[in-house]
Parts: sequence; structure tokens; C-alpha cells
Amino acid sequence: MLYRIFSTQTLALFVTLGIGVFLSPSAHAALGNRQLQTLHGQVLPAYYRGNTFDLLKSMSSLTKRMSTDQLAELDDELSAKGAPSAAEILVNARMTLLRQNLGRSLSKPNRNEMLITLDGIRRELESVATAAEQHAFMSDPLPARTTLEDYEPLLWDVHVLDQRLQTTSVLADYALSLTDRPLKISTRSLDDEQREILDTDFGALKARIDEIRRDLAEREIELRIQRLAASVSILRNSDNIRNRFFASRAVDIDGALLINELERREKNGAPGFRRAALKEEDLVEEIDRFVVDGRELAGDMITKSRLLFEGLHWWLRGRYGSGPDGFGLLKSPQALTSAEARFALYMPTEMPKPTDSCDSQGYSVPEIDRRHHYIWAWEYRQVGSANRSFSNSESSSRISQETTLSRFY
Amino acid sequence: MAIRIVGYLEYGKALEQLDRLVSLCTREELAAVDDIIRDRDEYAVFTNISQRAPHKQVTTDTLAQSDKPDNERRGLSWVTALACVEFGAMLSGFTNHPNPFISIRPGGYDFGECLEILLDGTRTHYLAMQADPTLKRVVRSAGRMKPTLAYSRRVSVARKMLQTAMERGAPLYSPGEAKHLKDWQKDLDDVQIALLAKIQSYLAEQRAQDVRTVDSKFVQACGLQLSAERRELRAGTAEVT
Repeated sequence: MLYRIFSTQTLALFVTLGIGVFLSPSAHAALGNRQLQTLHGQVLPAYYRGNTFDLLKSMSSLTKRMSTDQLAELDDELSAKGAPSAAEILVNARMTLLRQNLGRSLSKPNRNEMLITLDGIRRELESVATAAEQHAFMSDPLPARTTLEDYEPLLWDVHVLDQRLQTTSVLADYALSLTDRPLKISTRSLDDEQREILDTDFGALKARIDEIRRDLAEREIELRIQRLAASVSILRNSDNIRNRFFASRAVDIDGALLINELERREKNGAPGFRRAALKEEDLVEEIDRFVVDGRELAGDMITKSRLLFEGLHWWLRGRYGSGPDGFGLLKSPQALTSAEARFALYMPTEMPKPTDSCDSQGYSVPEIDRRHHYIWAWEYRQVGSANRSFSNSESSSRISQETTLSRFY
Repeated sequence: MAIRIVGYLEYGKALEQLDRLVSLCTREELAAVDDIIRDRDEYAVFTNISQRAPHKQVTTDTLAQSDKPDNERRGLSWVTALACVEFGAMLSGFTNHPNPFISIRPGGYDFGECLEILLDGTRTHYLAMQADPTLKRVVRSAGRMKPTLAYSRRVSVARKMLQTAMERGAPLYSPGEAKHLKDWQKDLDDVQIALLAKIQSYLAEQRAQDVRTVDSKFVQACGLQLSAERRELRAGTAEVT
């Protein structure tokens, strides 16, 4: 009996070994062990953690000298783990950090990455510029409004559009910084598409974006002057508290923005306005009059409207805002030290209409119904292996293995 | 680290502004504010999210379940209540703040709304953890300190939410509901004790080994966790069974 059991076990062992040998990873002919270790020990953990900095650094290092075959195999490995391709990861990571104005901390991309990044930036610049030029707000006359509340969605659109143009302009600056010196890339090794990327006139694209922003800024000034005038009229003639909240808010914010903008233009010697409605000689005096009258008529509603609308604006950012890390749940590590990074969030371009997550078939708005349901899983505290010794030296290397808890239910 | 969480700065600032607004406004002005917020879809808040949590067994508790026909809520008090609970949860999970839900006060203008969202959140965490096989594995297995710490944080948040709901909503619960809350409290305490015992055992093992373990963030993190628990034990808000 014992012999028979032993034989069966031995047979099972040989079969297992045989199967193991048969399925040994000879399929990883292109990628070396070290490359696979970097992928599984650094790149993928950074991706799952949503750590954009580490992701860019590790992926850039990994792909630096890869051949086409190796890149193809890398993409297969990434796909098997549910991650996007190497090119997509590199472009998205770099552009995410650029949009947060962290371009100065980035190392210069290597050859492969350079082409991918410039192509990504070129596409973004053209896409944003075209969309902005075709936006309803950029046509004449300005979109019609009947009530004071109708100005709000228009100004929101302007704000979103301007933010997008601004971050795109940062991308253009970055592309120019990469291409302003001769690139150490042999053109003989490039195909037609790659040469086209390097031949892109990023200066012209940036100029186009800047021109759109200038036009947009003037239109916004015109709109705010119209709203300011309408608000003063309401404060003078209406007892409706709701309307007085909106009017007070407009006097407060439009008054400050307009006065600051006009003073800034005068101080910097900015060129004159191009839009006819802004060419009046006594424009500054007219705005001043509106602001003084409006503040006097509003009284303490100025403070209350400020508290209301600023409070609600912060609430919207908390409810619908998305950070660059942790799959949207986190801001960048720079938020610990930089006020700019603490403030930076991705916001929806259109005002969301939330849904009941109990009714939604899969996708709900916002996707994160309650942040406290998920953030507990963000475990940033490092844990060492039980039987491993560590040194105080900063040069000691250890592969960090982190468990990502993605399951909620 | 809490500052990195999206919503921490934002909800904190929102509460700062909106609470001050409430203190300054007349009744008519508050009514107008409520009107403005109700009219905007983006400020709608949905409750009863705990309905989605897996139910391990048939539950007869009626806590955090509204008798209204739908889950959509609108108005200033719901807006501030959501901010209050989210912000408080972040404080309780990522800081040593002794009273993370300080602004939830009986008599407050949004007290009822806060309580409903708080209980709904507690129930969601409780039911989800009850049905979570990963939690069971983490509790039973050796090592795996990272998920241990993460779950311990989750239990801390849930316990803090529950404790707040029990203390401040006490007069509002029926005897049956109060018993349900007590049962949840005991279950959560048991899980936390098991997780902490595992952390303590790991620390003891590290100290006993003849190597220098200087992963200071981990040891500090465990220490913070343990000291928070010891505070609760001293305060009588936790007990060891």
C-alpha cells in the first residue's frame, strides 16, 4: 500500500515537473529577467497605486533601450495585467505631470519617449485649439441671457475653456523646450510619420492657442460688464432675496475681476481691446460707478453671497473633483508641500447630474458615491519582510511589494 | 497625509464657509439659499447607499433606511451633512483628531441629515466587512501587515462613525435599533482587537529577532495605531473581551 502511494506521488511529481518544464517561460525570449522584475516590481505597483511620478520614472527607465520586439512583448505583459500599453502610460504620465505644472521636475525623455511624447502633445494642441475655435462662446453675438442666473453656466464654460487652453499652453511650452535645441536623433532611423512629428511647428501651435485665449479673455470681460450692469439694476429695484444673492455675488466678483484686469492691462501696457463694446473711452469710470453703487445697495449680502457661492464651489470640488493619483482619489505627493498641487484637481467639463448608485447599472455619477468607502484602502505605510534586515543607508535597495486593496464589496 | 486625499481640503473649506453663512443669515435668507441649492441638480445627494452592500444574512435592522420613496435629497442641510460626514471620516482615518465629527450636534440645523448619512455609511462599512472574505483571510493569516493596517484603518473609521451615531442620536433610537447598534459595535471591536493583536505579535517578533529592523514608518504607524486604541480603552469607549 505504501509503495503504491509513493509511486503515485512520485508520478504526480514528475508529471508536475514535466508540465512545468514544458510551460517554462521561454516565451519571454525578448524581455530579460531584470526587465521583468522591473515591470512587476516597480512599474505595475506604481500603476496600481496611481503614483504618476514613480510610474513615469520606472517605465522610462525600462523602455529606454528596448527594441521593437521587446516593446511589443512588454505591451503584451501589460495587457495581461489589465494595464494600457507602454506608449500610453508614458504619454499620459508625462502629460499629467505637465498639466500640474511639474514639468521642471521631469527628466528629459529618451529617444523613444521623446517621439511618443511630442506626438501626444501635438495631437492635444490641435484638438484643443480646434474645439475652442468652434465653441459657441467664440461666435458673435455672445450667447443670449434672460436672467442673472443664465450668466452662471456661460461663465463656467468660459472658465473650463480657459483652464483647458492654459494647461495646453503649458504642454506647448514643454514641447518647445524639448525641441529648441538640435535633437540627438538620427533622422535616417525615422519613418515618415516620426519625421513629421519632429517637424511640427510647436511655436505656431502655441501662438494659435495664445490668440484664442486673448479673444476669450475679451469676450469674458464684455460678458461680466453686462452682468454687472444687470446686477446693479436688480439691487436697486428688486426685493427678491434669491435674486439679490446672485446680484450681490456678481457685483462682488465681477467688480473685483474687472477692476483688477483693467489695472493690470494699463500697468503692463497691453494692446487695446479689439472688441467694439470694450472700446468706450469712459469704460473704467463706468465700471467703477457700477461697483460703488452695487456694493452700497447690496450691504451685508456681499459677505453672505461670498460665503454661499465660494462654499458651494469648494463643495463641488470635493464632490466631483479627481486627483492625478490613486485612481482619482488622491492628489500628487507634491500636495504635501505645494499650495498649487494642493489645489489642483480635474473637474468635469460639464456640470454633472448625480445619479442614485443603487439604481445605476454599473456606472453612477459621481463614480465615487462616498469617498470614505474607498480611501481607507490607501495604505502608504511601508512594511518590511519579517525575516529581512534593513540598513539605514539610503542606497539600500529593496523591492517594495505592496498589496492594493481594490475590493470594496 | 490626509491633505493628499481629494475632498479633505475641499469639504473642510466648504464647511467653514457654509456653517458661517448659516450663522449670519436670517430665516428668509436661509430659505432663499435652500431654494437656490434645491434647484441645482449638481447638489443633489443620494442616501441609502448601504442597500448595495452585500447582505450575508437577512437583516432586520431598520437603521439608516429611510421611509421615503426615493433616495434623492436636496437642500443646504443635505449638502453640509454630506461634507460633514466625508470630512469627519477622513479626519478619523488619517489623523489623530480626538473628535472628527465635532460639527454633528443635536440641535444643529443639519443634525438629522448628518445622522442619516452617518448611519448609512456605518452600515455600508459594517455589511461590506462582514461579507469580505479578504478580511477574514487577513485576520487569520500570519504576516500581510499592509492589508492588516489598511483594514484596521477601515475598522477605526467605522467605529468612530458608529460611536458618534450612538452617542449623539441616542434619544432617537428605538430599543431594537439601539441593540442593533450595540451588536455592530461589539462585532467591530472584535475585529479591531484581532487585528491589533496581530500587529502586536508582529512587533514583538521583530523586536525579538537579532536584526535591526529600522523600517521606522511601519513601527511608527503601528505605534500610532496602538496608542489610538489605548486612548479609546482609557476613555472607556472600547473594551477588551
